[in-house]
Amino acid sequence: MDFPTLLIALASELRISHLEIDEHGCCQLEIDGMPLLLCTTPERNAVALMAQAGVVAPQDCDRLESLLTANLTCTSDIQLSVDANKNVVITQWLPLAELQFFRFFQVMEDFINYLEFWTESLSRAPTTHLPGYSNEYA
Amino acid sequence: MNMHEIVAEIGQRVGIPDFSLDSEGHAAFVTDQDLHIELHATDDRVRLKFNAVIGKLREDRAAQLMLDLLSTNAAATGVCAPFFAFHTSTREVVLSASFPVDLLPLEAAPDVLILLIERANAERARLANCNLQVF
Repeated sequence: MDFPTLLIALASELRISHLEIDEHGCCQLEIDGMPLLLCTTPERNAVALMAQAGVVAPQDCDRLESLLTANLTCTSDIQLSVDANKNVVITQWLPLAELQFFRFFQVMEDFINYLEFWTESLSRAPTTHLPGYSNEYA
Repeated sequence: MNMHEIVAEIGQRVGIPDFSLDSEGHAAFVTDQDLHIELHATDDRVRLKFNAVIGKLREDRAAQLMLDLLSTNAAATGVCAPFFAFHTSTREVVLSASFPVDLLPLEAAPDVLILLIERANAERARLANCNLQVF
């Protein structure tokens, strides 16, 4: 399956008229109020599901540790990272060649469940005592 | 080629002729550079996970290093790209890669592991001066 074909199938499944690919090879959409980004590699041989789950305070050891630990214990291929603005980014890459839409949709449902878990978790105030902590990250 | 055959192939590439998964789907070896490598087949046999142990956190409150590791993960692009993880009970920092057995040709798995080993050796050198006891 190629990326445009996948987007056509996804738009049909979600009953959206069409999904557009931007100049970066990405497509933005929203599912259950959750903004998602679908991106491809420059070679267009893989697709990534990406989403921001919230912000982490750079001093919040407990939460940083829980993010890294989840990368080891997660039973799927979902990875957690932190971008330059301290946003927690959830990413899952899938090779396109052998990918069937049914499998992609299953992966996307699991991805959204994982996203909901971390969005809720990161919305709570940190458990670590942070000097000078404000509610900026709550 | 099935998963056991590919693990045997990996053994040939790293110089361990009788390399195999145990009954729980685990296997491990140590490279010539003293890098600890673990292989793990997920219960559903859909993924083969590779872990390289980079080192152990020297102290509990290592926020800067953990943030560095998570920020490095943001650059991981593509299927099987290595990313950092952490083992809470052993305090070990791990570089991990996940190989989707049902979506990629199994023959590609040894190359993914070799790339992980090369990257892990580079990361050990990079992180040696950080808050990490590198093995």
